[in-house]
Amino acid sequence: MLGQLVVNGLLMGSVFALIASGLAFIYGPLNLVNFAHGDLLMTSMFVAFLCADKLHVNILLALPITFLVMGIIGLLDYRFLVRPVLQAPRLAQALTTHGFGVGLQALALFFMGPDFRMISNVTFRGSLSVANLNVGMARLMAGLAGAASFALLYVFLKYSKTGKAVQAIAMNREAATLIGIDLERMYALSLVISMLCTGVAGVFLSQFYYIFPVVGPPLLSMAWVAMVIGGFGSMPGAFIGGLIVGLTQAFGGFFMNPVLKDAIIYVVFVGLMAFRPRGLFGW
Amino acid sequence: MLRSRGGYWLLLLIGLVLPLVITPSFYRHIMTMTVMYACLAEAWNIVGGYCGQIALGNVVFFGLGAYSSALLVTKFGLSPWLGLLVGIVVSATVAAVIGWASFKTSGIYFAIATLGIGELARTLFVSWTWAKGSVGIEMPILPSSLLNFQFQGARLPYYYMILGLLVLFFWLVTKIGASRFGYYLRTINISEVAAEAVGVDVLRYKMLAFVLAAMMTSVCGTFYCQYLLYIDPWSVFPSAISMTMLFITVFGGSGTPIGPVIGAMILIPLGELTRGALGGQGKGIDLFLNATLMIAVTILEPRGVLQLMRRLPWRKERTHEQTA
Repeated sequence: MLGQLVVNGLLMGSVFALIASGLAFIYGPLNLVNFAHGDLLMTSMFVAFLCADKLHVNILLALPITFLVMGIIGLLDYRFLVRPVLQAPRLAQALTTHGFGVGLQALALFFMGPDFRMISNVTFRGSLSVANLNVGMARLMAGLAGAASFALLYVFLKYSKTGKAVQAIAMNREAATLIGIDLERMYALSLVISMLCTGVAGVFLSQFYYIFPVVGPPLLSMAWVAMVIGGFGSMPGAFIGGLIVGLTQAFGGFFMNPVLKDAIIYVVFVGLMAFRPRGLFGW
Repeated sequence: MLRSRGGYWLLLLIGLVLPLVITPSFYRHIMTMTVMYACLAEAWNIVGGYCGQIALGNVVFFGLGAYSSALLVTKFGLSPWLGLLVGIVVSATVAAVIGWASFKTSGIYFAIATLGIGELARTLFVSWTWAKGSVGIEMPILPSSLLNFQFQGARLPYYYMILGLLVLFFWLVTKIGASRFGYYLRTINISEVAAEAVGVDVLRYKMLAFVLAAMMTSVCGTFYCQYLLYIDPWSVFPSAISMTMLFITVFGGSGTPIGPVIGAMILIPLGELTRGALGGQGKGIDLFLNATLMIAVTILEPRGVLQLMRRLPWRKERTHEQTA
């Protein structure tokens, strides 16, 4: 049973980590907290849902379609909402991104209605049994996709020139401009990458998760906690943080009242803030 | 922000007379909610507007105020006024703990911590069976009197009580704004490092602002509970109320005493009336309107509608006027 909990926790944690790295990709270079992130995740889940329900395509085709839609949303978001408030006070930024999120919720409510939906013709069916562990295929794939995307992002940041440029901006904007990095392009790129992370997470989540207009905020909270546990802006930190959140949720839900499983995470979070305020991997 | 004191008195006069002119109880309810949200936003204004700390979980204190009075009345048969005081003490304590844990680091940790506390509080109250969990608490019907904090079927007494509270809060925020404490808060808002450098005890004043806001919010919570006579975790702990406080303040003009009042006067009736006109269809049109306004105000003028009006072309001669 313990092994089962660990596996479930790690798989879900890997998805949280992916959502959290999407957040980190905006917070690092743009120095902006994206309150619409959960609702963007909801949007990508609905895109995946429509792909399966209306176009009857499997996940291999749903993924590029979602990428395309989320990429376009990311560019529009940057051009019309994020860029005007980049220099504004944090409060104004918070309100703009929150407003965008509420707008997405309203659109989802308007076009899709408030019902809980699930994809009926999912690509990943059944479950995998190894030893006495039993893992749903959809969850397994989501966990693997999270880890794989995360590895890809890490390699991109660490070894590609563009990735290094993104990191340079996160460290010091002025210095980055001085050595000839085009801020505008890097900002747009970071936002699009963040949207792609959301796309992967949304498509794989939609294989086994309920889809409804306000699915975003609770998932976003988990991702936030993951990011803070790891230390803001640290990519390996975000991954470990995601796994910790996943494990805490799995164990908390099993050993205590399931209603309290999210509550435990916040308690861990507040405790950590008090005693290790910069996170486990923060500077 | 308004040109003179006369403007404030005029607003107060309108506030006093309006429910006597427009009598249907639906509209009186909207007025009561408008004034209550103005009070909530005024409280938020101290920690968010003056001190610049993005508190996203102030609804916790609203809920604690509501539950304190509800539990004291239903479980121990005590007066709701005692509940009001207990709510204030509990909220202040909780605020002090949250502040202690999260003010050590930069602002964004505080924002996320407070957001988390809001969710945590609702979860706890849903699963707390002694406090009736998700069923909610129905207040017993007591004879109408100020002592019982109940006026059966009458909306006017509630309205004038909350209006009185708003006048008190407005006066308090004005006083704070002009005091040494207010200058400390604004300094912290502009730059914590600079504040520290000139000798302001940043942590202490952030805590004070947060605790004060919590106490004020708690009073509104008790009022809400006595006004509706029924509460459940979803109605008094939704994160939407926290966001509304922030939105109203920024919309009207954060860091000014009149901003929250103006913001609430525009946004709450607008929200209630659009919901009334279009609502019940679950189509989210009122949500969409809200979202559009949020984005519009921050992109056009992050200092709020009062500043926006000042920028209108036919008022150009006043643009170089003192803004604070």
